Amino acid sequence: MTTASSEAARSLRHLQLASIFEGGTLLALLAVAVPLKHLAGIPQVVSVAGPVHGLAFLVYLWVTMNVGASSNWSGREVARLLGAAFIPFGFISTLRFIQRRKATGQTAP
Amino acid sequence: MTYLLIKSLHVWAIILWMAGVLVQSLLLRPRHAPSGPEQQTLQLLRRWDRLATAPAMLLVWITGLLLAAQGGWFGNRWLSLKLVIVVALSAMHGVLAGHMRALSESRSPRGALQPQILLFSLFTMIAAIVSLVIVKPF
Repeated sequence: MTTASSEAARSLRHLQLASIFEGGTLLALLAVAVPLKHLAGIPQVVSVAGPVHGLAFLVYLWVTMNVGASSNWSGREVARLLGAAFIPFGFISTLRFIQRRKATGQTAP
Repeated sequence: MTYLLIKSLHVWAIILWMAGVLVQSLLLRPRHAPSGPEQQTLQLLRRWDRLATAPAMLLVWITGLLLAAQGGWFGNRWLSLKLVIVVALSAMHGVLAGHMRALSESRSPRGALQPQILLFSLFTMIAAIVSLVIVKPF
């Protein structure tokens, strides 16, 4: 495996981890923290989970832009990956996209 | 005291992050993969990004979120606007670092980056962020 292709595989792994982190914190926020605030009157969980998800989103955004630019992905593909971050379970489609890229052994289209 | 320490760390990390993005904006001119001394400069710049600029950005985000939480500013419109600009700055840095990686691997990235537009965007965003934080207009 060449240095460039191993770097490409590593960057896809980073995107995978960032996607799981972002998707997981979004689910925790929507499924646990928000109901606790509005149904049980415990707002403290949201005040922690909110910033953690904000951080996770920023990491995901940065990694997506980075991998997209270095791998010459189209604007549409990058927009699709970013859009998935706003939808609960949207990270599953991102993980599938990454799997397809891994299967073809390249990051570039 | 803790607030001031976090604030100091935040400002220090911002200087490191913005310095790195500024250098990338100046050096990543529209071109094909360079060779020779230019390639060495690019490798050095890339290593600096990995060791200093990107970690500084992460530190800016973490300390910024801590400061906003301590100050109770979440929900204030000036902070919401500032966060949008920080997201744009982070995206810009992500693209620059991605271009740098493609060039350092002797590949030509899609689309050319225009240094004038990058620098104008960078300085405009920095000016807007500083004004919003200092003045807190709304």
